[in-house]
Amino acid sequence: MSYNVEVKNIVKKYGSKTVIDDISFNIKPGTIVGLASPNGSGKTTLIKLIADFLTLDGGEITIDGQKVGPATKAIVSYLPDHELFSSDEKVSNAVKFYIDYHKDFDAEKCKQYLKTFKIDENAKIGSLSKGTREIFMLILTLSRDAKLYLLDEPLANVDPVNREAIVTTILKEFKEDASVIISTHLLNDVETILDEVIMIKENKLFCHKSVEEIREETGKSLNDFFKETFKVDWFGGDNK
Amino acid sequence: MNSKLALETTKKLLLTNIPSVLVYLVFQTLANFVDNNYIKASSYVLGALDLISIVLYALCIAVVVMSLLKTLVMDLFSEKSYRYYSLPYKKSVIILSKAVPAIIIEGLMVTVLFQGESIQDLIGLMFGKSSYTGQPVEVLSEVVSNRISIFILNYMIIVTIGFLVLLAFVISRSFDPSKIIRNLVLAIIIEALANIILYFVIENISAIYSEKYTEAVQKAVQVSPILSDKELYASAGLIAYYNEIVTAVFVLIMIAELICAINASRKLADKRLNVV
Amino acid sequence: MSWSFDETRPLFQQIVERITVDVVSGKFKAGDKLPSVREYAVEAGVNPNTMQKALSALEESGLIVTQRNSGRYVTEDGKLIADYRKSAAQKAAKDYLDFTKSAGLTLEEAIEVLKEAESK
Repeated sequence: MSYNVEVKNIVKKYGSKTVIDDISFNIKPGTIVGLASPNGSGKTTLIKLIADFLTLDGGEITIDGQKVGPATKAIVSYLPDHELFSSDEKVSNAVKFYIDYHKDFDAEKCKQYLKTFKIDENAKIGSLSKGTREIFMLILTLSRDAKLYLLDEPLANVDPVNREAIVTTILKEFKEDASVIISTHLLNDVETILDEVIMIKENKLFCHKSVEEIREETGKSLNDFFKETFKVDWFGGDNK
Repeated sequence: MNSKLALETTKKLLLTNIPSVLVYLVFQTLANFVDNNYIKASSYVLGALDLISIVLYALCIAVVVMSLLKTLVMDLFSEKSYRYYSLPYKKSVIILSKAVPAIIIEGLMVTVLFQGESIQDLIGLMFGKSSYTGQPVEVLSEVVSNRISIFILNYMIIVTIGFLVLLAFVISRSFDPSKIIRNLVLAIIIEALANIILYFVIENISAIYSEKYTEAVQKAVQVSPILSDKELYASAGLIAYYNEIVTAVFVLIMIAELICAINASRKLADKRLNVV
Repeated sequence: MSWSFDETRPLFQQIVERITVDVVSGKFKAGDKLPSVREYAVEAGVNPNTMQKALSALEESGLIVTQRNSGRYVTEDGKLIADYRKSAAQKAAKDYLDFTKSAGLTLEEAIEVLKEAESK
């Protein structure tokens, strides 16, 4: 079985605090995986470790057979959860950056999507609505021909109409030899497109399962399963 | 270093900085020309020229500061840096590819602004007149050639200081940013060592140049008593104040690193660690 | 616009049901070409692997046939489609009669209601 992403016993500490405690999982090519855990559980740290933005304290991550490093950045397309370009930069400049520096960038595909979503190439990025900006960043990320797409909260702060557009675009760009990891809280919007889900609880791996299996075994939607796994009794038994 | 990134950075910096500095130099040359050749020009005209000169000078400094902020701080040390760190190169390569052109080009711009008279003299040489003093160039040719050496030396000092600061940042940022205390200590040790070396090297070089320069000044003063040695000696620039500058820069770097470290540990506490 | 699903049940089963209904109701006629797995997945708003699983199950049941190099088609077997149509109708009928029984109607009254509904 050849895996696209192999995570073996990884550990990450900040000072004395262990944020990621001996987590292992493997992802096959052609899978869309959701990464779900409560705020502050190390989701973004995990993504940054895979994207080679942070260094491991223990364990190993390999992507397409190579250890994470500058070489894997060429086959990983990472969409962070914040702005990548200044608001006074033009859309066309951002596209040019990707064309210049990412050899696997498909400029034609990008231009097609810009037309579909009616994004004016001469517009300043700051003049686009938040939802459109997010779609634009997603277009740039998915127009690269990578082996792994890391999407960190692609739906946050986006209205339902644009959220659907984002989910549909992710589906449209599905590639059989690549994998997608989507880190999100908005499970309602993405659960139908996920093959598998990885959940982290208290800095350890809680489960890595097929979403359909979860539905079959528990009779719950992924969203409800998540709520049940991470529920906190805020009001001490008073909520009925 | 990555040549593509370095080239793109160089192009942008040149496009931003050259126009402003050129305008300043051209204006300054014209102003000096008027000053030295139209002694009857009214004080209002001269005053106005001075004022415009100061404004242009300030503009050039502003351009330098903004360029540095954009190329170094915004592109490398803010959230916008993610697009650069996603490129398939080592973090230190990315930082160096942007910072090295920035230091070389901005260092040159700062030196030109600082040591404008050297350029004036070069131009004066071309036209057969020293625009600074209005005296025939033959008298001052030795002083002029010394001034050029001083220009180069000042440029080297500025660029070395720039590289020291860069070194500190590369060390503290290209490693795992969660190990900020360790990196800070490392950076301070290296900076201290480099400053000590630089101090001894420059001290010795400037001693040599100071000697030659003083000789040349004395010669020139003998030939042409209109010149005051103070006027000529004053343009030795940074060399005359090397001790003060090294101390000041060292202190500034320490303060900057401390601020970054405090800021980073607050972020650690917030669990929102930026990639750099 | 994606299909609406009940996310508490496996999706692949619901996809099989939906496509069966589409065939049985005549939305897809015998011999019609189906969209590719990827297109169908985008249309339904589901993961292509899930869609693939559903289409494979439908192939096994014979409702869908694969022509090599040419894609997937609704079966030309009119009788098979008719059988599916009948059993779908039977299921709907059983659900209806379960309801009328629990509402206290006799079989004749239930049939009357059907006739009235038809003429409206």
